[in-house]
Formats: sequence, structure tokens, C-alpha cells
Amino acid sequence: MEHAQIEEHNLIDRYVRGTMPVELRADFEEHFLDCPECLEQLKLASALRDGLRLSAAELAASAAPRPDVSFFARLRSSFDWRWAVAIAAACLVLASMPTLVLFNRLGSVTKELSSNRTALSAAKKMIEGMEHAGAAVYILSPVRGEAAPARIAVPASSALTVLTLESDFTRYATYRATLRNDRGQIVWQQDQIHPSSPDAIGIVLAPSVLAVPGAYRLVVDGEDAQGRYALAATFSLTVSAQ
Amino acid sequence: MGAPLLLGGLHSTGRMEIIRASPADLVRRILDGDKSAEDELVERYANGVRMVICQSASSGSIDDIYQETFCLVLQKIRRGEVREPERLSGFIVSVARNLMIDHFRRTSRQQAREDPVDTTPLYSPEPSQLDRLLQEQRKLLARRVLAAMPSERDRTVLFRFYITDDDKERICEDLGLSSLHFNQVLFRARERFRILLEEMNNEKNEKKSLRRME
Repeated sequence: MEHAQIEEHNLIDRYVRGTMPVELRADFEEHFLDCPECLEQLKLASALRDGLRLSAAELAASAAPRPDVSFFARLRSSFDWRWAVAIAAACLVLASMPTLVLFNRLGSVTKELSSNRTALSAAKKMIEGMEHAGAAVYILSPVRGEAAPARIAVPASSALTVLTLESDFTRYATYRATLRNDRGQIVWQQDQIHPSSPDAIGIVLAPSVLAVPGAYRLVVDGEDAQGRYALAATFSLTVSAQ
Repeated sequence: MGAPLLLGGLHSTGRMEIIRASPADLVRRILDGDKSAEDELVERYANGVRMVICQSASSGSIDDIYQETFCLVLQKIRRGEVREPERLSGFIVSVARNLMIDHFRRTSRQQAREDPVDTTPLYSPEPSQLDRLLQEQRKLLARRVLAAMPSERDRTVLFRFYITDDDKERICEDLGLSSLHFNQVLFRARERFRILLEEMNNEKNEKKSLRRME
């Protein structure tokens, strides 16, 4: 396998996303097993994808269910608040240090503040990206007894749907979410989901996933140390076109 | 057979480039009973095998399949069962894949035998501190990569490709991008990620040295 072919057909990213055809996959695996360059690119792509998805899920899950205030505005104010506290804490620490130590530490503190500022700015841009992409955000609670399913009106213009699943997610380190339509067919599945907080998981769905109106069931299974899955929570939703 | 054979060439930049032994040579040395060649094989293919396994196996079974793969590969090489030594990596991948399939079969049989009524969840250990640290690091770096993207369009490409799993063709069509531009965006993002990772590691090392000096 040639590197030109790998680059032209995005084989690195297709492999990481799990969208590579089986016959191509075997050839590519045989190649990268003995190719340090491709292996390095695979590791980078995999880590970058994980980082982006974790960030998006965390941002989505940190939204509180208050209908009168927009999700993104609350996130912004939350980040501003954290930033102000960070500056105040840093100033307090600096003021209490002897001058000599202060000079030694000043450089590293400035660096940390600078990197926090960069991260804050990136988070804001990511949120803007979600807004720009027309993200629709919904918060779901698990099904208990005969509770009616959550109703979701998916806007026609929505580029993606963000679901924040609320339940106790402290039992397992990772979870698997499976979305089935009313015929029981799997329309979407994702493994290795890390909870964004002890009581929330954020998932991001492509526009095509909830394109068909109808009833859906989202099952979240926890993965134990032996790789076995056990039911953690079930969510029901009815999708109607807006 | 003696010590591991390390062949090298000096670049014009002064950097030493390691020229690796051919796969057929590795196989031949293992057949000759050279233990260091076995270590060399494991070191050379370790990251690749882990990457292959991680793509399909659940986190709890990765280490087991990884160990089994190298045990079986070395046994088969010693027994002279590698027909095409030049295609050693293909052989190793097929062994790993067969072990994964075998593992899935065993796991599903075991699950079927267990009492289906008993759904008491088994508790798994929390992610290790290292796992959490790596996750935090990835999140932070990913946000910095997004921030460093030169345009809103490039950010949207990353967002749609890596987070919402949209197809390349669809993204290119929606954003009016050529395939080449799309590839460049992904490549630049990975490069930026690599540089930031290196910078972060260097900073950590500097801090460690400073602490030692204090």
C-alpha cells in the first residue's frame, strides 16, 4: 500500500472512524503494523477525535434544564465565571508569596493563565461552532414505569442533535448507547462513552440519525471489567418533524 | 546468534536513522533461536497490534488479546509456520484478528450460559488516574486545535467529520470544498495536535527539572 493512496483516500481517518471497508481494512492494517509514520498519524487522529468528542459531550452535558435561558448563553456565563475565579485565585496565590519565589513562579503561572485563556477561547469557539451548525439540545430522563416518552421536535434545519442523558452513571467507567427505532432496528450505536459527570452522559447525533419521525428507544449499557454489558438506563423519545 | 543487530546510517542533518531489519530476517533469526530477535519483534509490532485490537475489542479484553497474539505469533514462527516471512505484519494481523473473533465467540457463549434473569450489574473499577489525565489532556488539546483553526469553515470541517461523523463527500458538498482542501484541514489539525502535545510534554519536563533544582 502506498502513502499517496492512504493520503488521497483519508485511510487514516476512515480507520479511526471505523468506516473503512473490510477488504481495505486488512490491507491497511498489514501496512501500518510496520509503518511508524502511519501509526503515528493514527494515534494522533484517534486522540484528536477522542478529545473533540469528549469536549463536545462535556459541553452538552453541562447544560442545566432551564427552558428560559439558552444553553449556549449559560455555558458562556459559566466559563466567564470560572475564568474570573481563576484570575482571582492566581492573584491571591501570587500576593501571598515571598518576592523571590514569586519571580521564580511568575513565568509558569503566566503560562498556565495563558493556556487557560486559550482553552476558554477554544471552548467558546466550539460552542459558537455548535450554534453555527444549528445544534438542537435536549435533556432526557430515564424511563420509569409507564412514563410517557420525551417528545422531540427535530427542526428541519438542525445539523445535529445533542442529547444529555440524566441518570446515575457512577457504576461503570464506560457505557454503550444503542438507539433503536419502533421496529427494533438499531439506527445508531456508540461504545466507550465516558460520563461527562456522575449523573450525565452527552451524546451527539448526526442529522440523519433522527431524520425519520417516530418512536425511538435509547438503551445505555454499562461495560464491566470483563467487557460485559449490563443495562444502566433506558430512555424513550418520540421524534416529530418540525 | 549474539546481540541484536542494529544497523544505522547518519543523515546529513546529523540525525541517526535506524535501518530496521527486514521481516524475513527477523523470522530467520527467531527460527535460529535468537531470543533478542523475539524481543525486537514484540517491540517493533507492539503499538500496531494494540491499535488493531483497540479498534474492535472492548477495553477489558485488550490486554489479554494483545498478550495472546504475541505468544501465538512467536510459537508459530518457532515452529516454522510462517509461509511468507516478508509479509510478517499480515501474518501478525491475521493472528490478532482470529484471536479477537475467538474471544467474542467465547464471551457470547459464556453470556448465553449465564442465568439471563440475573441482571445484577457487576462493578468495574473507575478509570485510573492516568486515564483521567489523558482524557483531560486530549480535551484541552482538542480545544486548542479548534481555536487555532484559521477559519470558521475549517472548524466546521473538524466538527462535522470527527464529532457528528458526517461523510467527507457531504461535508465537501455543503461547504464547497475540494477533496484536497478537506485533506489538508485534517492533516493540519493532526499536525497542530502533535505540536501541542510535544509542547505540553516539554513543559512538564521543564517543570520537573525546575522542581529538582529547587
